Amino acid sequence: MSKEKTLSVDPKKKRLQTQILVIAIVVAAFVVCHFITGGRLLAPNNLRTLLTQVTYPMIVALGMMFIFTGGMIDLSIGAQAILAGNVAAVLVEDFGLGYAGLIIGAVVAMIVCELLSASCSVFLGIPSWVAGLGAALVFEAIATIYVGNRAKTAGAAVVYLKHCQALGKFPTIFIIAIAVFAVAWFIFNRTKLGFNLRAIGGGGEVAEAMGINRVKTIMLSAAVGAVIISIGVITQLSYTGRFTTSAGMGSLSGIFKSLAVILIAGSFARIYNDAVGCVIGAFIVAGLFNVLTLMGVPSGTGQDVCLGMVVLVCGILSSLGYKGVMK
Amino acid sequence: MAEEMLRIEGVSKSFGPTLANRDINLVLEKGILLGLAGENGSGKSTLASMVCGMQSKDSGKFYKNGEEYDPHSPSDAAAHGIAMVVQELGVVGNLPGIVNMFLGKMDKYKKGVAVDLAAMHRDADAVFEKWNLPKVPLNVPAGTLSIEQRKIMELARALITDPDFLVLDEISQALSQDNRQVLYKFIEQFKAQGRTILMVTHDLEEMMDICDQIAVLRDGVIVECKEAKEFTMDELKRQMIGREVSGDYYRDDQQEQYEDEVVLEVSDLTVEGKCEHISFDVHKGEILGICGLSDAGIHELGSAIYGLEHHEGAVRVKTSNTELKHPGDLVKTKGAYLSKDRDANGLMLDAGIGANLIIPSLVELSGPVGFLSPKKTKALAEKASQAFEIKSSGLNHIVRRLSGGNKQKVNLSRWLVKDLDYIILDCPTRGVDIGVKAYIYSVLKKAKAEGKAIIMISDELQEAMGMSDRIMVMKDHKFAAMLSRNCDFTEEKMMEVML
Amino acid sequence: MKTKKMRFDINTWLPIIIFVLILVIFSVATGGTLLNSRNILNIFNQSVATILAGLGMLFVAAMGGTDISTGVVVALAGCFGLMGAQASGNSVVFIIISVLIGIGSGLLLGYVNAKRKVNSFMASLALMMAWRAIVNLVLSNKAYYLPDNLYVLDKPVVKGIILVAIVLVIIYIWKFTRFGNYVRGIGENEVAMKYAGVNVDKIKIMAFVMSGLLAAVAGIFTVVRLGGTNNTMGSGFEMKVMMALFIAGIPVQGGEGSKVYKLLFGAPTIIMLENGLVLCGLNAGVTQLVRGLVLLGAVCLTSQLAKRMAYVGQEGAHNQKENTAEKAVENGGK
Repeated sequence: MSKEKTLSVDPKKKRLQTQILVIAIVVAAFVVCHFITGGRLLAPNNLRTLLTQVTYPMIVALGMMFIFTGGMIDLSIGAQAILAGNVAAVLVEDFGLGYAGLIIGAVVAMIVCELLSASCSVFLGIPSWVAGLGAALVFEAIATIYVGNRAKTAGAAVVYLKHCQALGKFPTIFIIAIAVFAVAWFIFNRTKLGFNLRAIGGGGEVAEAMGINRVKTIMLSAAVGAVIISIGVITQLSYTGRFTTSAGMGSLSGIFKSLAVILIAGSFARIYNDAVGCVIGAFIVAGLFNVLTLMGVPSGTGQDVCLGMVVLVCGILSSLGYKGVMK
Repeated sequence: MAEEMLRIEGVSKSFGPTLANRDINLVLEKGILLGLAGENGSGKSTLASMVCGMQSKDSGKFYKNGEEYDPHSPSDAAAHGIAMVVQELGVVGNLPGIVNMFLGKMDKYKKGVAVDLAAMHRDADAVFEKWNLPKVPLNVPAGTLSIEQRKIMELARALITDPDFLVLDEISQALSQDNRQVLYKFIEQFKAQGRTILMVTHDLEEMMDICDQIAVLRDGVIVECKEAKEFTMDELKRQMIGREVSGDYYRDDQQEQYEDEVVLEVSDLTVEGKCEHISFDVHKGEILGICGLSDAGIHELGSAIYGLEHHEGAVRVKTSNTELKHPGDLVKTKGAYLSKDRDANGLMLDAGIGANLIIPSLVELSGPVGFLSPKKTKALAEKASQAFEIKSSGLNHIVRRLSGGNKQKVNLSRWLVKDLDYIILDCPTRGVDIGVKAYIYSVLKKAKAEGKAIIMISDELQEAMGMSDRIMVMKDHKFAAMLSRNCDFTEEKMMEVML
Repeated sequence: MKTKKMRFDINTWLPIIIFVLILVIFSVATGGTLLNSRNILNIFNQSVATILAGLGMLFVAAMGGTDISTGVVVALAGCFGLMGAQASGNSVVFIIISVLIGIGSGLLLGYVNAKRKVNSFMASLALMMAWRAIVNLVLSNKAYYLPDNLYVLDKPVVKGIILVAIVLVIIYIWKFTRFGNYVRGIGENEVAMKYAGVNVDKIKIMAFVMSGLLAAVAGIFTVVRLGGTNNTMGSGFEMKVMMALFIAGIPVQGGEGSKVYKLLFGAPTIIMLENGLVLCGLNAGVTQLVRGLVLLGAVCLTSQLAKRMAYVGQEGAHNQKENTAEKAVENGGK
């Protein structure tokens, strides 16, 4: 006869209670800030801006989730995004390929770049963060060289997207972000790939003992992550009109907000599924920066100090209780 | 004559110089439960893991249902109807139980792109129903389940593939009494269907109660295999640990001999989940053995003594009247500690012998302005290397390439070359060949004669009995008994207290 | 067990081989311009900061950690140092403040990594962001100029002497103190160090302090070179320093393979590489591309060699092993 195992507190119910509590706190924080900013934070105009600003960090973080969970800390994503963004812009502006060029260009560029970067780590024995740094230098350089060359012929150093901007407008951009979240959540929580990836990331040797192919899972997940990030690139490109090239690892600053989001999601790991954690983290980060802007804190300086501090704090929070070796 | 389910013929396995299994011959029939008995390190788990494809064998053959069987992975084994529940917990904590149960087997549940969780739940429930196992919540992360629940889930996971041969490695120690009853009922049901179970367990009473046959492993060899009812408890214990004790291998005296002066005083030492309220003294010139079963907490006690983790209670070094609170206090109070796992916790494998030998002595060797004279460090390394007869091509010889015995010599000599008051050793002769073993014992005898206080934690009862003045036995993280060399060192007494 | 004794230990000679290789390639490619007296002076001048910062980063790298805040500490130290000098009217204040900033940054980073268990890469990245923002804030519309009496520091002879002095001190610390041994030991097997009674947390923090301190010293010389501050100073500098370490074959996971002489060869190698590329007329983009490929190649080569020589796996496996040991202690067996 089967017996029901009863526990002192139903774990599922307790988890749900904590989840609701955290969301309530975040919403409360928004309301408080609304008053601090003199009623501007949640005003309709600003709300549209805020929701638009949530999308890029959120989508990139969701993509990062597929790459980082397998153990690959690949920070060349920022440089890849810049490259993909410029490829897409060039296909639209110079080659007149319209939306097809925009979408296919970004997606393909991103997949190729990410798989190259992942291969360095998986097949060449280079630790993932070093491979990411090297790849970032390479991708940044490629973008700089190409755009530089284009400048000689076309006159402008930065590639501006002037057509096909519909995907960057509100509410389309936000709807796309939600759709991306839904797909990411689905893959992460309802498909074999998602389960295998999480098993490899969290299970030590258990995953391989159960017959999961580590290399195949990591590469496939990296490709999925790349596709997701490329969608973020498309929408962001459409919204801001350009992806400025950078050099000397400057591309890292482009994904810094997303890193903060992923770290926040990590510190919420016991409460929320990673995908949901990314959404909440994105709102926290975007909200924070929106408030800072409204309060007159300048970007590039004050805001980045806050960003650095937020990443540090999130890092500390997500490492609480970690007893192993941390290099 | 019952039909043969699994035949093991001439199987051997070595890990470097250590012979884990030697020429194993065993036949398991259908519908029986065979228990594998043996001390720690006797080769039980190695044999079990080879049968299930987790490790490869060096030589010999397996036959399943009369056909040759050579698994290269657990999936191979599953395809032949063999499943295992491992000793270490084999779940992915951040995934829900239902996913854990079907990891690597999800292909047949694919519904389009997604995985059909409902079907997985149905099949999982069916397994729980069929074998009358208590239901475990499967839609929460496995890490939130209790150890018992995880073990039951692992059992269910093994049963998903509908195996006709099941290996259970130390499963009952995770289960409470009532769940053990459930387990026994399950075993009966399994056997009734003509299926076979190979069970590895430390619980000798349980083994005698429920097993049909028992095979005893000792030093990698099967020394006895017969019907359980033909064993007496005494005989079982004797077969497990009895071996020739050659006179001057260990000590040749039978009396406790040590000075009155207490060197190390342990009071009420408690580390959560590892040892509870342990108190004892170690005297000058004494070898204190510490023994217990694998989950008794003896190994954790060793590192707890010098403050590697936060502890309650106090450990006081009487010679300098200092309390051991942090690992740094070990060196300051002229102590030494050798961990059981020398590769992970003791040695820098990819560095040279010289670099390894000097590490514990750097504080003493440092002169003014922290100057560490290369002449002095080299001299120390050479002294240690020669005094302990480390066979190598020089001080730059990479430690990874040494034999197990020589590695242990490096591990040991880097401490013993110092001027020490007390030494804590955990399994000092583990994975070491006979020649080096004898050498290490002679070194310990000498240290004892020089008045050092020695704590020797050991999985080998013969070793503990051979070398110690007193033996402290631990059971379930608590103090069980203190035995004296004068009268209590017999196998029977030891096993009685340990089990 | 017989072992093949390698007469020719490639690991020891690699930095020298690569140095000579780059030297030859670019001498030829630039038609000898690389080696004319003016350019050699150029290379020397550019190497000073890299060598100084590299000596500090060596401590962190030997432990298997990372410090990518080096560039921004250069900027931070330079800019606040000059501010202080200007405000107080005393040039010595410049040196003092710079050094203090380097030490402070190192303390913070070391604390977060050692005590709070945040990955050193993430932590130094976060600090880099925050400090860069502060530098931008301070330098956005103001530039500071070097007080006249400090120009003496830019003289090659003076620079050379100070550099040699610092190198000697670092070599002393590296080879002749237990700090150096512990730092490498932590890179080899952090858990074993802990078991042997070494105060690992303290050593880690000290290593980051060294890194920050020497980054600040590099900052002092950078400011001296520039004659003041500019708003991109230090940008990308940490990459140059890291490449100097890796191109010379210092393993990513640290340990006994980390040696001072390797950096002393690696720094001029990387400077020659960049200098050579510029002399060849290649633009900044191509230079960076080559740098990225060289970084990947160097690390790949080092880890493949390590794999063959010592049967070590990747950094991940290294840490994984240490994690397993830690977990065993934590879980207490079964």
